[in-house]
Amino acid sequence: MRSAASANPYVPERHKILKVTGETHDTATFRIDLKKKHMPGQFFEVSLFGIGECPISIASYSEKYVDMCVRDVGNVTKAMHGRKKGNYIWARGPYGNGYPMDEMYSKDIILIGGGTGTAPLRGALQYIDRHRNLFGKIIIFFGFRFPHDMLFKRDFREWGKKFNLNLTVDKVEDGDKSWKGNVGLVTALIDKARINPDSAVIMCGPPMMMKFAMQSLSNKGIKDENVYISFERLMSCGIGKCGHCELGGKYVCKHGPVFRYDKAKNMVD
Amino acid sequence: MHLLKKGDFGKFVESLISRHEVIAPVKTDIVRFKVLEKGDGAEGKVVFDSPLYSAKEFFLPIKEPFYYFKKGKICESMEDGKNARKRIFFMNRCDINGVHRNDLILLDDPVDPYYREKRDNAILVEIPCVQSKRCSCVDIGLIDCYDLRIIDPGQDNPNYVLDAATEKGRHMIKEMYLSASYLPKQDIPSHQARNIAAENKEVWEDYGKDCFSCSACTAVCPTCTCFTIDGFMKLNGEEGHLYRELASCQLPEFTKVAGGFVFRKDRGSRGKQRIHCKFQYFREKYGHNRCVGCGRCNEACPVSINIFEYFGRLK
Repeated sequence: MRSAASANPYVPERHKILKVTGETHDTATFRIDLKKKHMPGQFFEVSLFGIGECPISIASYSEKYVDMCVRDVGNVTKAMHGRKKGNYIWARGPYGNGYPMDEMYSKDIILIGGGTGTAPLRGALQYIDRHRNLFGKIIIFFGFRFPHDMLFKRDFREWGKKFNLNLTVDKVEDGDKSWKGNVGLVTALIDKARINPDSAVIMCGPPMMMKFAMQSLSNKGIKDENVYISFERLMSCGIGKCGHCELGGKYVCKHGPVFRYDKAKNMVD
Repeated sequence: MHLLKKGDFGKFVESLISRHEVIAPVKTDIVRFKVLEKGDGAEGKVVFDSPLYSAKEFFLPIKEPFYYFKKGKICESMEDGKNARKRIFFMNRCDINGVHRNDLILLDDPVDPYYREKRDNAILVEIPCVQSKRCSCVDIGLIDCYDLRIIDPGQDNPNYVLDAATEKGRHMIKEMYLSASYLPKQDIPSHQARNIAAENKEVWEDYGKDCFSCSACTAVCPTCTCFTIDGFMKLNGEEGHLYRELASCQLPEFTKVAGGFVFRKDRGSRGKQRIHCKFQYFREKYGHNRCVGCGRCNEACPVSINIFEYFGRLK
């Protein structure tokens, strides 16, 4: 008899939703009663019966719970948005390598995020906050499409006090007077900022944003081997078997999703 | 080492059928892998040939349920015990190597339990290779990975030699294998292990022009194991199962992420992925070419893309 024991890597475990926090019209953060040890940058495969599975990155750093910031874009994420506090989801993981935080000890850290790519960076920020004396200066550059697309607004006040927080939006809708901050690309903010060339960089966002941000960083003297980027790919199994996320001979789910830029820049389709 | 009279091969097969599930290439309307039934041992039914579709589906069914769920609980698989019977496979050297390549990825940590169950129950018997026209395995790096091997020492010899996979036997057979007349006389490009350059733009452009993305190559390939996991729910909304379905890197959906973006949009880049996977990536990870040289993809391709030709063109 084959049992659905934990030895089977495809079988998920059941976890309770502790809290749901609405972020935007299509995005919410689910706090899950999930106490498995994890690192920022790793992800879980969320499994919903009858619908399927999808990889969701970890947007927190805690022994008590896992925050998953989920945008309603596919079958599983749509179904997840139908779940409330007290409901259950199934998940397996954590998978992937995560950010090598120990390699960044004593360095200044720059975090660059775009859109939902800011979710794993929130995990990294919470890690840094918990181990504050291990890191140098922290600069955050977050970009979103519109002011109403901003995620984790409730954290901005705290981050602004503790770190150097820079926010921008691509566009402001006509007549929207609520946003008084920066308008334009993240790269414009990086170009203006004073940056220590020995900083380590953690970056996650749309490929275009990462490409141009990389140019700005190079101009500031940041070395490729100090930049860690996350790749987005279709993943199905999460354990390096199904082949969907293979890129340049590496499985993004198993060998990544975090890659050092000096290696990542040679990984092309 | 044992000798088996060629005239007794049918009896040998029948005796296996009575005790185990035996899967072998059988001549029906076409040659295909079939679970043998009583009487299939008769002369001429089991053929030493390589069917266009490999025996992959016995290890990786096109659709395979994982675990079942009912009323919010995961149940043990309902397939339990179904595969407990030993299965004996009669396959060519290339196909047995194909199974070995699939072992490397699916039995790598963490082990795929669904594959393992079927693999543990399989006995691989290597049959004498007939070198069909499409094959090209000579320098691709095939290794001995059979459990038992049937050797035909020559047409005028009345016996087959049966060799269990011991070091001694392996060594002896290796010598026989090379001195026998199995080596093909076709002129084929070399596909020995070598590193493929990142820049081969024109080759992939040509591939993109030729290929029309039907994915027949990956369907017939004995070492294409990529799959997609999906969920199924019965209409009662309470029970269903999670399953995997074989997928193809030659289709655009393979790299489509939520939101609709496709990473490998053009056929050339998908061809690059396929050929790199077979001759570069897998070797980097597991030390072998993933391609076993059976040539099925070349035969199945409606526009005659030849994987060896393309590999030969690469810098």
